[in-house]
Amino acid sequence: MCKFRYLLAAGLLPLALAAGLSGCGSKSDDKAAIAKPKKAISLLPEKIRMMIRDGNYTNVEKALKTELKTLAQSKNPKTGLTAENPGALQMATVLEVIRSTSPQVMTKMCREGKGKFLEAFLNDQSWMELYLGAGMVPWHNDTGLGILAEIWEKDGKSGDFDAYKPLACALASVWGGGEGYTPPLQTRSRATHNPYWRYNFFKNRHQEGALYPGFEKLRPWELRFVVGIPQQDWDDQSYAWCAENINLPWNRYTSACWAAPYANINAFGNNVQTADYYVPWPAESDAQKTQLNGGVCGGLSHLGTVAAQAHGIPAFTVGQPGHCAYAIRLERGKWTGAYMGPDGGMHNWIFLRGSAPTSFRLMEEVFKDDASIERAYRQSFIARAHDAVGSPEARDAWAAAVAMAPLHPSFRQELQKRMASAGTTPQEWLDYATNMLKGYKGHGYAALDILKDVEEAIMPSMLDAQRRMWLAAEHRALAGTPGSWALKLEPVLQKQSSWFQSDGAKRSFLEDVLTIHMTEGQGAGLGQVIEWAVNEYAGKGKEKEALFEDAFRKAADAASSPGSGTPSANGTERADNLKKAYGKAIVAAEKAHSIPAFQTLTAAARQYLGLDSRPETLKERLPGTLVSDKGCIRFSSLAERWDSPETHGEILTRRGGKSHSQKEKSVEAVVTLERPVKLSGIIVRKADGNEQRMKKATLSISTDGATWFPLAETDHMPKVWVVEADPDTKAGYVKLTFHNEGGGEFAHISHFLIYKR
Amino acid sequence: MTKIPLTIVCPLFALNIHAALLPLQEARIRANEQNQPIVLLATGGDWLPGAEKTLESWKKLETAGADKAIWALYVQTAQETNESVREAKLPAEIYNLPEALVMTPQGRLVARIPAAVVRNGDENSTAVDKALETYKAQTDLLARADKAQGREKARLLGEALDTMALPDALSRKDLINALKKADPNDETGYVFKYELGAMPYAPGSIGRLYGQLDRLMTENGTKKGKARNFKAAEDFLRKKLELPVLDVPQKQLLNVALAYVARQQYLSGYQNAKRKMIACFETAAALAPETELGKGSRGYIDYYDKVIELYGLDFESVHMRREFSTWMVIVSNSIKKPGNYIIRIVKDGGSDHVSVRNVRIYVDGKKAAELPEEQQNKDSQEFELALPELRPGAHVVLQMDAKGNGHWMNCWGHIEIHQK
Repeated sequence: MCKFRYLLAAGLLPLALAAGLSGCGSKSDDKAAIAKPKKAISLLPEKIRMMIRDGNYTNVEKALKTELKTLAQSKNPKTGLTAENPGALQMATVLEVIRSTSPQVMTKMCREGKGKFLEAFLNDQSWMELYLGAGMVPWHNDTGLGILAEIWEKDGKSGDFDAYKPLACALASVWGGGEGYTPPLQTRSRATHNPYWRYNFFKNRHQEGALYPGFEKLRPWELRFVVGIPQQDWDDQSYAWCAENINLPWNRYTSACWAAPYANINAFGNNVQTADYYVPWPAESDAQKTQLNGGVCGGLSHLGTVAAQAHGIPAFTVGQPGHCAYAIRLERGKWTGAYMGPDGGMHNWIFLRGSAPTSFRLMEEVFKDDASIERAYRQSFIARAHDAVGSPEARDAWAAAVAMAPLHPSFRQELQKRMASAGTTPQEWLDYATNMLKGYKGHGYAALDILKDVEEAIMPSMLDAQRRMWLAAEHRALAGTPGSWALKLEPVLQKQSSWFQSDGAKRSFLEDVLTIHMTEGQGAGLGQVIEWAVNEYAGKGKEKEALFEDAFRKAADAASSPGSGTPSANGTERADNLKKAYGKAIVAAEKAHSIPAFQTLTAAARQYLGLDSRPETLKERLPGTLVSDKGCIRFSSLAERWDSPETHGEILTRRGGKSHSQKEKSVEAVVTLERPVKLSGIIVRKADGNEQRMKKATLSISTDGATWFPLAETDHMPKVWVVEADPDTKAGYVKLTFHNEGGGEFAHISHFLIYKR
Repeated sequence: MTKIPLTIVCPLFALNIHAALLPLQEARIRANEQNQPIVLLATGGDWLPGAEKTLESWKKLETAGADKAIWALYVQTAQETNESVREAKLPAEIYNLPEALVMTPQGRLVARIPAAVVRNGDENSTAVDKALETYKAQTDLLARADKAQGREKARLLGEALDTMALPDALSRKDLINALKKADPNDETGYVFKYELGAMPYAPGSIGRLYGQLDRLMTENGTKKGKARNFKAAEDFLRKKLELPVLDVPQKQLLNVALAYVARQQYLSGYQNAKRKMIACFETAAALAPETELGKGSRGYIDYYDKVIELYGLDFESVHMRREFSTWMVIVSNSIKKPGNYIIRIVKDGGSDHVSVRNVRIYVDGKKAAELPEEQQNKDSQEFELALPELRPGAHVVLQMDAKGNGHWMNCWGHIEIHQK
């Protein structure tokens, strides 16, 4: 199959020639005539090198283990099985390549003519490290090494080949997948998805100066995000198309997706949600078809991503509920979302199956320093070698790797496996976890994932006090983790709470969690914690409600006492986040129809925000006693942008608060009283501004919350509407309804007061 | 933020910017004062390969045509952001630098000169001259339209829009709205022409066209399947095709829409509608073979009529069809001797599957092996074919009937051939 044909078909003859396919010359040939690539110095014993040449990797593996077992017995780090012994390191690295690929696959590769490549590769320590340190290493298949072999065979003699080894390794990693993961890209036809084509594409573009300047410094783990989208890739020619047809300043690739029109129906009448949409253009690349004929979020996000990648900028597409977005990155640690990215399910990842933002944030932290992570990986090869030879030093070797890269999930999990098989006690696990979790502050969800299996195994045998300490440490890490719509704390809390059997223990756990999220971090998790707690406890009987109220009060007290906690956000941000969290929690309590939760949260919010120090704004009064202030209120809708949920409780007091509905035909507010009363009367006041919106209104009452009786109505509600009730008017619920014409209207009130006789 | 003249801030061009290539804002003011069109080069800074060469050639253009227009330069530096580009308020969105825009003195779009032309440089002069002629012709027509009323005004506005390339014309909402106001009953046909647009420029109106056709066919949702009123939709389209003001893009789209109606007819069970559909696609393709509609029409003809050649022994989703269609692969390298061969269809990925039947071998153009009668028209993933004779060097082709399944027909894989 002539790959060259596809470039011709796409009308890209000049690019085809420049890409140097089908044996055409490349710019690097001139350099090759001047300088040959540096030959790596191998420190493998001659015996091992001969066995590699022979090509039986079962034998090579056995021989390596024999050599390494002897070295493992030495206590001298320079001559033992350590990273300080270069010979040992190289043998351990080769062993790791064999373990990942499998001796059988490598032996077969030799028989199929890849022996010379394997010899060159395994004798090159730095190259192996690039391959094994790409974040994801192909597991038990010949895809990754096969790609390196092809690139080496075709370009290995170039003088600049060393400079492009990271690129080659990234391609091997993206195509090859990892343990437990085979990317769909791996099985796509090489006629349309060809790693060697992409190698040439990026190499040539780099040499032409057409790539983002940061490309040169990218390591394989980053280049993974330049060379493809393993989960849902576009074809090679899409890269060529984007190189030719989308050229923007680097920051602007977040809007590259809009180079295509957003279209649901194409010119042939086909819907984009069918397989027929792009049928008319089989010869065009995915990018060309999309840019010229339109698409929806999936197509547009892919276009934006491939356009960025074609210019050497790391990017990924990400799946969200009902949407596909993307993200680009111009410097380490700074992923910028595009088209509502970057969170969701990444289509390219290294850790944690691509759950974003957890996955990419952890990845950036783990790999942020090249020298450190390279050292850590070397140590991991040594640790693996200790494992392979049954050395008692294996656990310590893994501990050393973890010390060098404390956040690396695989290293942690390897250490944890060895700790488990060594019979680590619950207290020892607790010590390990609490120490480990300190380092995961800001990466709480990653920590939970890493500890998941350990937690499952060890929690049943722990005491409640130990469980509390463990989970408190987890929540400290979570409290410092920036929030996202994609991060759900509810299932975590549900699981954690289930470890405790007694009410007392559950209350203590709840207190711990509430206190931690109130005092530490940015308060991002607080809303979710309160929501879960309200759903779990409020409205589920007096005992559970009391448990929640008590826990919340204690947490609020602890959080408000001087010197409590160490907020990671600044004071203003924390206050703002807390205010929002209270607001959210209060709305959750309203929806749960829970007076205790509403009252508790309202009281806490009042205290935090200083609402009780505000003066009364109402002149009007009614005889009797105000009772609304002990109830709760709920609304048919709330307009988040203008509503102040943290003051909803104040609406029921003379100080007043503010609510703001969405535009509705019938806007309702319902007050639930603590207990049914004989009414004296009701006062409703409109919030200041746009008062003309609220004209026609009715008040209704009920004793059961289901059956309603009219109390009063008006066609022209005044600013303050005072309604006196007839004697013997009993109510447990009072409903205010605004009746609107046409498309509806907003409504906003500051007071809704109910007096009893 | 203090605005700094581009001549100072552009790192590459600080010394090279021609004095007469004005910053955009200044160019707008001067163009308004002098009532002259603006020729704007939008380009990149040193991050854009070839930017310097483009600028050099543009400076020469400006020197030669200094009195024809106000020449402006807008350089997007490497630090440019989406917000700063929005603030520039260009009349068109540019995703491929460098590009040139020719604008009215008021900053409305007259013509775009795309990156491929600007980068190349050889045709810039012709392109700019052509755009300035468009501006002149358009200005004359609009001046006359200003003095006219009703149908005459609409005709002149329509002709003014006709001076522009279609995608550029569709961006002139000011003229299209004036047209609609002058000709509320669309007596000229221009309102239909410019509301219709043509992909990829006006996705919204495409959806409306097909929505209208569906409503006509279903008689507002009262008819389904075979009972639909295909003739009503066809008549509507044929009547529109008679409008004298239509150009090739609209005619092409309307023919493609006719093919859509015929396709609905065919898919609902009228076999003879397939020929009608192909004929409509042929007409559309012939009108302008190289446009997306032209290429797409040809693509559809092949989709329905052509044997599908796989990517070697690999098959992809693009090879799937809703009905059994012929797959073909040259296997001269895999089948070199006579004998019995096992042919396996192996799915490698995708959420759906492929149905395959009637595998057969052709040698030098003649059928040389096929399945026994009792195995014909039965789906399988593995077949055995007996090839009793084969001369060395023969041209051997494997054919089979294949059909995609599932909503997306998302399936890819490969074919394995083993001699028994």
